[in-house]
Amino acid sequence: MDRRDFLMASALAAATAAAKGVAAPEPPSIEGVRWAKAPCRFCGTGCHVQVGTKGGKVVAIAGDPKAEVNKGLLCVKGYHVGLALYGKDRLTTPLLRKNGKLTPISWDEAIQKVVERIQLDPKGFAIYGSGQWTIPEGYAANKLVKAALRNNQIDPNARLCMASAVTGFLATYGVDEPAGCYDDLDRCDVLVLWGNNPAEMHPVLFSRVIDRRSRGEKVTIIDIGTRRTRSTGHADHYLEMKPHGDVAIANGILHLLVQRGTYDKEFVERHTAFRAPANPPTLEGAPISFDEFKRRIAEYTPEKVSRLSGISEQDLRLLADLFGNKKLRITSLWCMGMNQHTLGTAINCLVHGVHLFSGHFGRPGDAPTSLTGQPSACGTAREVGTLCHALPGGGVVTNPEHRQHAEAIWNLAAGSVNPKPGYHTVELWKRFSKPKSQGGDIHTIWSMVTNPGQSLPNRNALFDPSRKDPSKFLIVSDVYPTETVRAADLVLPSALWVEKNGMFGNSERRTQQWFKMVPPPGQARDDCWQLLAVARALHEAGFAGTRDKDGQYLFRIVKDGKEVPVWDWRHYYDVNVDEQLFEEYRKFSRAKHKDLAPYQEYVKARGLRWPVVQQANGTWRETRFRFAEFDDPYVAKGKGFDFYHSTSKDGRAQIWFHPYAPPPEVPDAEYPLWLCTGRVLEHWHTGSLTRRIPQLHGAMPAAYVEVHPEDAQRLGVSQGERVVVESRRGKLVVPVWINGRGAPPVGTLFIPFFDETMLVNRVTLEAHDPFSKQPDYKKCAARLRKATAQELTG
Amino acid sequence: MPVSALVLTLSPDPAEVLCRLSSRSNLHLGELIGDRLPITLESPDVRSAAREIEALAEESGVSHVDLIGAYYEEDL
Repeated sequence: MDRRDFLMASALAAATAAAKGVAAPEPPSIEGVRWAKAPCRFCGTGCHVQVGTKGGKVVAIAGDPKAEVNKGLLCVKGYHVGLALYGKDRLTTPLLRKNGKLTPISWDEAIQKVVERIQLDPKGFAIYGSGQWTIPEGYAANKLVKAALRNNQIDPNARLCMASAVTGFLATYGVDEPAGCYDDLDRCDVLVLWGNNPAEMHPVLFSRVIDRRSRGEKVTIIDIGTRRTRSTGHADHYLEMKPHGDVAIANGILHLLVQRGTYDKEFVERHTAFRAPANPPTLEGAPISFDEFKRRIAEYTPEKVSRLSGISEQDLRLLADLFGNKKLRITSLWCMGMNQHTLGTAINCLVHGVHLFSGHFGRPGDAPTSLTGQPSACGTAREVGTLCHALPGGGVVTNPEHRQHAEAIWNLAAGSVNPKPGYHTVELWKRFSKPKSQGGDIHTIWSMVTNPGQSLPNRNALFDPSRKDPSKFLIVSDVYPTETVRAADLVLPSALWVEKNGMFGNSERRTQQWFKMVPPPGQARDDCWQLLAVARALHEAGFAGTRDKDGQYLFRIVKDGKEVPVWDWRHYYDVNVDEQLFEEYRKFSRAKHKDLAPYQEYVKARGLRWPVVQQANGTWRETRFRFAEFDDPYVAKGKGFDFYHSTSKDGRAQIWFHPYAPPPEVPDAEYPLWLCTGRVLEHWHTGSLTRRIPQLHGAMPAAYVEVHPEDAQRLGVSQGERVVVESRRGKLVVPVWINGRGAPPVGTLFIPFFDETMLVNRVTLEAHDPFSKQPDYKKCAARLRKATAQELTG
Repeated sequence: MPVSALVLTLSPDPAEVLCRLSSRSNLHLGELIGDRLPITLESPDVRSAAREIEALAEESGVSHVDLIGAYYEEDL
């Protein structure tokens, strides 16, 4: 058998084991190839892959059969994740804009330039990151801003992605992140997709449900959406709603459960309380009685809900029938459809409320579960707290006890942590876009592991103006020349994925770890090193904030009793910096019962779901289902359920009433169409990685606008014709796709945002939810017209 | 040439699609397990692998494609 035959036989053996649903053999033993585990670099599902390396390169990827998340399977992106490292245009040297041109400089010069910008005015220096930061990277950035600079000017692009899920969890349970986990997908009888397309965005999770069906199990899929997607193709019922219709639908279900008396009376009485918006509005709202709740929900009759939402009364009754049937197990999934919504907090609370009110909560298969788009949106943005108002472990800067806790762990003098939140993402970039004389008090943003030039809404207002103001300075750490890099003043080349150590936290509270496997190209270096190098340079320049209350350096890394100079790249890997930062960070995790295990436990596992608690025999046990006695170690025996961070301080979860309100911008005579934006299977977010993977780029080479055939006919545009889509904020030229992959209804357009050559975020609006501050990318008013000759060539 | 390891979920009455798939020289078929068929796919280069997988998903008689592994050392 030659080498190739051996490889083919090994690959077929792996596929056969997966088809049998049994643990596959180890990855194929190929001469010279070393295999090691890592979570996939892309979405928030958190699949584990086996990474095959040889000669300093990733040469093979296999699904990890030992991983509970994906059980050896991968989606088309995960399968090609190794190739994300090998685009031809990797950034390999620091670059500084001189006379308008990005020019190579040394790392020492680059680090000093960052320090100069901080020293110019520390209050006006901000870090903008993402859920692609590893946990230690995010922790280092957060500590640099909140313990050293003390201005709280840090926010992640997760603000654009899942902030409404956070506020929904906080308002309902008093603490963030889902109670359930992916195991629910293996047990549910009904799967409700609320504006969600997991067949494309989280395909491995969706395949768990499809696999159950192929084994003969009955799983009813309800797809509630504004456009038909690949998920619709698998649905038993497709309920097409108007934009914002989900708020009316959730209220309508609650109305029918009350009217029919089919809500779970015992669960509601023992474990829930009722809330409604307060005046002035607050995230915690105001308590109301059950009678008051019933009075308010009474107006959401099927007739009214049908009128507001566009779904039929019959379909609303179908949903109420399902939720009113306690014999069924129902899981709800959502992602951007409910989160990128100016009523994002409200609809998140309402869907939790539907589950709590109907008692479809706390049993395997009965769960309201939000999904995330980034690999560590939960682990880094939410748990490490890289949001402008947050502290690690679920704390907030406005809470004196949380600040004291942080000051104790960081060994800072009392009062060191600033109680004033920094600016949320939209406000941060607005302040960066304005001259200082007009309130633009942010002079420098250091963007890491994200691409705001493509992903911010209303780019013309939030991104472009600062690029014409010489007093504003944009630093970008990245791996490829993105839209943001091209506009930067200083570019720092970064290591990517298995070119560095890392940890991620996925959508189901699972913390994952991997080791560096291959070197980064050229002078590219770890983001965490970049942060520590800047911190040290600041320290050496005498910046007071880098010292703790005993005068010690805040980021001291010690091995065998001696400080390791990790700010010097030659010594960065003399010690496991990730482990040291993680061990410090995990001290924060117990305050909100998000307990993390020691770093070495994650080395052994394919991730562990928090809270991870040590048992009497010394082993560490993860938690699949929170708040439920049968699995959560923090629920006392006999209680059944305990929402131990309840905002009503009585162990109860909150069932909210939130009224329907129309979207902030609706089609009119001038802009008569709805525009929705989103993602596609082949590309991950702004496409900066996946568009450099030939297979994925070849499969989906360019953006498009999905148009209903009737609209196309009425507007006189044809398949493939390049047209103008424009709003009150901007426009783009994009080819028409009629009867494409997705099918929008008459009057609606859809454009994916992965393509940097067709920037749909010049068109979107920055209106955002009042609590989460998350913008609505899913609905704005637009028009479509034929392009002029100049627009086609411009 | 890259090698891909895949599992196809086939629709009821798979005889016809099995016949079609088995005639392709770039596919190696394993044993059908229930409605799931393990296969390997050889592609001329990394660029064409995704297109071929997408085409398999669109194939009449194939209801779902799961991806298990990718081996592309020689193409880097």
